[in-house]
Amino acid sequence: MRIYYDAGTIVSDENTDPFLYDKRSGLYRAPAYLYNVIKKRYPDAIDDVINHKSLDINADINLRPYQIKSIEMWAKNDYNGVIVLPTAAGKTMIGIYAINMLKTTTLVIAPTIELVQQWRDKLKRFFGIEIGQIGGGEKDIKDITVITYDSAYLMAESLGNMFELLIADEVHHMAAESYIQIAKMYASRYRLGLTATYERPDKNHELLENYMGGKIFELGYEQLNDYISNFKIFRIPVELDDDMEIEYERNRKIFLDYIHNHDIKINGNMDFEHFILSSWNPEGREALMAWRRSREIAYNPKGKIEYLRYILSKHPGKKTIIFSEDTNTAYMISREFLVPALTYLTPPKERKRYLEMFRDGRITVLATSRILDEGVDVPDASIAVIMSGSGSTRQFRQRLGRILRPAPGKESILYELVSSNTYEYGTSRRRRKGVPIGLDDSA
Amino acid sequence: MIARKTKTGIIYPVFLSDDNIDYARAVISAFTENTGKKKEVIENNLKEIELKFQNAKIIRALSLIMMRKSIFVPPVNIDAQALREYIFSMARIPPINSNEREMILKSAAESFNIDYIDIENAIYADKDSESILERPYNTDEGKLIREYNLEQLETVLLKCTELNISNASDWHFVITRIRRLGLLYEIKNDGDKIISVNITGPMALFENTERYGSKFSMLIRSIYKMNEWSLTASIKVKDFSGDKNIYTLKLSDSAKFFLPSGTIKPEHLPEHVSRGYPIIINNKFYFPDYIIDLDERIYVSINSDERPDNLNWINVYILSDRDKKKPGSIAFYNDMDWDELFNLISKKRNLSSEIDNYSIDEIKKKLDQIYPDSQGMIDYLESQGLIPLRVLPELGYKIKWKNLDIIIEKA
Repeated sequence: MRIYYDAGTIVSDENTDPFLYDKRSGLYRAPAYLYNVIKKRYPDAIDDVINHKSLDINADINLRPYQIKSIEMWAKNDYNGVIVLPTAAGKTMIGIYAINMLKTTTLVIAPTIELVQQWRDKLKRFFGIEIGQIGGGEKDIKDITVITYDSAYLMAESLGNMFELLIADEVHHMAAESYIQIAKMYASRYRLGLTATYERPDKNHELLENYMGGKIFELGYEQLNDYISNFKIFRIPVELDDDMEIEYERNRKIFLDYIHNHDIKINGNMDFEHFILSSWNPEGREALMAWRRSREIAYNPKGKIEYLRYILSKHPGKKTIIFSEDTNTAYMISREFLVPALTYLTPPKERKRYLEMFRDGRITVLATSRILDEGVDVPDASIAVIMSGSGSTRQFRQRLGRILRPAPGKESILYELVSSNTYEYGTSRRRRKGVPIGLDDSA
Repeated sequence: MIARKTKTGIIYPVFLSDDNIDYARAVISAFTENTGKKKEVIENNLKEIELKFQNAKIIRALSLIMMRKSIFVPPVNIDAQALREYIFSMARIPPINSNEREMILKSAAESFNIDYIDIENAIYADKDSESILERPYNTDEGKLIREYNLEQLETVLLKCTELNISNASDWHFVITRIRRLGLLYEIKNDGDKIISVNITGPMALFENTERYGSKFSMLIRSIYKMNEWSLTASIKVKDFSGDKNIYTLKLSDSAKFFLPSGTIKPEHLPEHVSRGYPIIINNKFYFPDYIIDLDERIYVSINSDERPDNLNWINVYILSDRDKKKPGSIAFYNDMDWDELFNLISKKRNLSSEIDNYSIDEIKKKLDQIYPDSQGMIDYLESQGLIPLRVLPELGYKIKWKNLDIIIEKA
């Protein structure tokens, strides 16, 4: 029996389980993720699937006790599975430790260019070898390579048999309908998923059981008090001016009347998608525009900017990240306070440059839309300001996580600016569910 | 995607005809009338047009084509990235009053040698929404509508899970395109006559996937230009409830009336090479892509594993930049390299007909020196343009496999 890799599948010349006959090519085929199963069942097969290559690397890493425990559980589960730890608990170190343990070809997948670059820098520092990168304008494959989910999905056919270990950072993304094909089409025998927020509202995380080895270890904030910085959360209500309030109510009414008249119930993302889908007639179009307008008013960047000015004046020189839901607000802040805006429109090189300058202290404030929500590591950022956000607890925890990396004597503060008398109040309450509150002076 | 679905499970893209010329006219004039203005202004203009027409999606789709093909330039000619870095570094602790802010901007204007009045525009001069429309796409309503129609067809096919083509006037073109895209197919034939071809991708064996939609869409972009064709496509579409259902799209060459005009350019083939045609051997159907007639006939298939036993047959793989070459296979990157293929063929012929030739002795001597470094022997043979797996047995070596490593021993 001879097996080889072909475009996300493993092909065999023998008719045997788990292979299926493929009449298109007259051969037998199985999805690539079954490689480990096939390998165990047919140890004598002539195997052209994947190169085994032992890497000459040795990193000096001392893990914390809970990190060691997590990696032990992973090893026990045949080097497969997902580790769930809060942001700032050192997930990247666990990943690097895993690579050091197996010393084999590795692909690290992360959702944003920032994270991909961050992984690359750290891997290079710890292992002292060149690290490949695919995505963000780079196409450079090495024994250890970092890649975005998008590229890993698009290039599954060619990359699927190049790496024995697959590390998926923020692995909850992998449960998305398209990205789950990464898990299916790569032949990697060893798989490690990392995340702070495993469960997905659509329940698709259950897919990860099958393809990544399921959740094998979890700790919450509560168990990690020693390892994260102290924090406080302040919620600041911001009034709309009278004209804005009237305009808000008017638009809100157009939207509510439309969904009421068309019997649309908005209860979660799916229903909202339904509304968007039904809005391509002139009436629906008007409702959609009214909804967008009311949301823009509630974000109220002009009103909030004066409060932001006050916050900035209170913490001069402290590393501060300002989050907003839309890119326009980020650019408005950028122009007003002459600080970099990091949005999906910022070219990758410039993003990297600003983050470096921020780390070095050559700049102290960053404005960003959603792209820094996850994972980016800025150890001494201690102030976060949420200008606007979604109702997602996941987003809130991730944003909070940006300022929680521990540093001696550090105390972090998160400010939430919320327009009073708008739906934003409810949004703010929803997203904070289950997040331990340091000190809250909410109105 | 702008398509209509019926309760009976049929889907079709909404094509525009000359009756819908007002849509195209409105969009084109939003561009021609705003030449010299910011992209943002045109976007807002288009949003207003959307509200005036029954189908806003069509306006959006037409606008996207215009946006893509018009020429935009930055508002201020400056290295905006360098300017920003200068400003942001100066504002290490951000200015919280207008005096401080003005001081920084003045200093930036001075060192970048621009008027202070331009500085606010210059900060993000390279941002897309700030760019100025210099030259709108030069088109007319009819042409724009046809481009839109083709894009709609391509967009619907992005959701395609399986595509069936019949009545093609040029089967050679169809099969070669399918193979080059790395898709798989089943042929329905009557003797050496092709009735239809059913196209899917490797993963389709395990799941009904839209993964190959982008390839189907690339396929249609060229094959619609054939004189005759019919297609039936399975299209996976999400409903209001979020469930995915399969709809059927049927289309034939009569749709060419709605699509941009064009014909298929004949492929330029070198001397001695002609297009392939179906061959039946022992009741089995084969389709070589090319036939090479030197002093003997050689059949060439691309990206296919077919290989009848008693024919002089070569399988060639055309790979994309990142693909790994299978050891021992003939593979070229991006396109056929006919010179290289002829080279390989003549070397192989020399080897078998003149096995005790001086150059063969040279090769053998060199191989003995490299032995037992198996990888070294392979590298050497490949550097000589030879195919190691064919040459080695003839030179008295045995090939063994250990995982992906080839181990070569003396027979």
